Amino acid sequence: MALESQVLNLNKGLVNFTHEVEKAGGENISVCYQCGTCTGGCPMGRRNALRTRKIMRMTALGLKDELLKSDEIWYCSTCYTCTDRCPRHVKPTDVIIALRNMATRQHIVPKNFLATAGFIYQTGHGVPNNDANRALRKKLGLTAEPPTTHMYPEYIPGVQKILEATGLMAIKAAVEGGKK
Amino acid sequence: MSETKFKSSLFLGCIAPNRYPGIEASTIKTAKNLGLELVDLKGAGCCPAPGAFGSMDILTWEALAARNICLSEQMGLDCSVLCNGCYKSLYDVNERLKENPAEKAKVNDLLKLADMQFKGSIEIRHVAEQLYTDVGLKKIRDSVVQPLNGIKVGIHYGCHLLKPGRDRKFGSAAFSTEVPTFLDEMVEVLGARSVNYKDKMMCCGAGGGVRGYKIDFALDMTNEKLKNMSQVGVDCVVDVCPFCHLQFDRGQLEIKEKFGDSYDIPVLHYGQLLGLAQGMSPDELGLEAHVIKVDSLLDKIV
Repeated sequence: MALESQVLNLNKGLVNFTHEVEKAGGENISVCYQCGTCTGGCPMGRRNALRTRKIMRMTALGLKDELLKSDEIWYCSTCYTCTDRCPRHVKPTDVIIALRNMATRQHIVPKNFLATAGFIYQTGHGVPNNDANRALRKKLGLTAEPPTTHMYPEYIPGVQKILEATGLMAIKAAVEGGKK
Repeated sequence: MSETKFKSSLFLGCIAPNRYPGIEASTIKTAKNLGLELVDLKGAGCCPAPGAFGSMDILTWEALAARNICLSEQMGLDCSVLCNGCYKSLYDVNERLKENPAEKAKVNDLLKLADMQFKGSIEIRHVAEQLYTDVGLKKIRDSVVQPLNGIKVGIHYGCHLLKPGRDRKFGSAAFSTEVPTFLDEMVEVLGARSVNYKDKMMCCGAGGGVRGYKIDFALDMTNEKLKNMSQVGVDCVVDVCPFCHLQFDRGQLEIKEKFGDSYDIPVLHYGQLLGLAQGMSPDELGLEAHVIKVDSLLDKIV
């Protein structure tokens, strides 16, 4: 029953989705012959529902809504083993990243990703400094703050303007309800 | 001390300077002993993390990475990186923008907001790759004053230095994605022994935002690698990526709490292992910041 409804849904709009993913870095999806090398080599798929081959097929079939709402696309650790081994030069990791980009634009994005964006917006770093680390840095003969945006905060506005111009901070605000 | 033959900027990223400063200190000092001068890259920030930022918005990822590259371009220096994740962001974006004028134009529009312009005038290198390719094994061996007494090392290459292989241009079998050898060779010239173990090329599990999203999945992978390493009796893990480093070091505490498995295997970045072999003290290498204490390893060396 489910399969039947999906077959009936293969209209032009869904094929456009496949082309959109291909343009966003997931080239060669249309030549994937479902050999399963990607899933076979996937270390993450050994322990959860991530099935790279299935994602490639669903993308070729244009099953946009199912893909963008699935948890599985966020399970990939981006180790690129599938991409390296694919005999058809499909780039499954980049397909997954393209799908994540599309999901993010629909405001479907895990909180930890947005939190990283927030840290960079505030400090320039995804993992900012702390007091214990400052003390250790001094003991090692390093400056308490590294010579990055931490020591030169005048560079942070440039980072902030870029994050705002691409719309990422607006997505973050919309998802989190106004928090920056 | 050898004379400076290579000079580049040093991109620190986040984890090394802000969580494991011993990686930063040891990399700078050991490289200097080998004629590689690493200069501060003032105002650099997060690479940004390829898993977190690339996943949300490719263009934001490219623009923030390009901002860091521009800082090194302004100094007229190639840029050295000591983290695999940072390497992926900076190397990939540098190559993509050099090869794709339309993408470069889009990124440069954004960089105007930071008063910068990407030119495509420099190369991005990983410090480990520079040590192997530019400095060479002989010189690394000659710098050893405290041989490592055959300690058994479980090497973890990490993913984003080597993969995807088609995007890299190392041009040597030592950098193969399935069976690389460059780090094994660099460890063995210090007098240590690289021990083979099951699924050596497997990912640490932390990348792609998974450590933050589903930490149990990430730790499950780390646990499997640690189990495989402990079965062949390694004295330590050696990595070239501060994020993998954090996952193996801090991860051992988390694995113990969540799954009850205990390993107590010390974790060292290559710069720290090289520092020990060059006669530096554990204090100089920041080993005290590690969750897993390294005393058992030091006892075998000194």
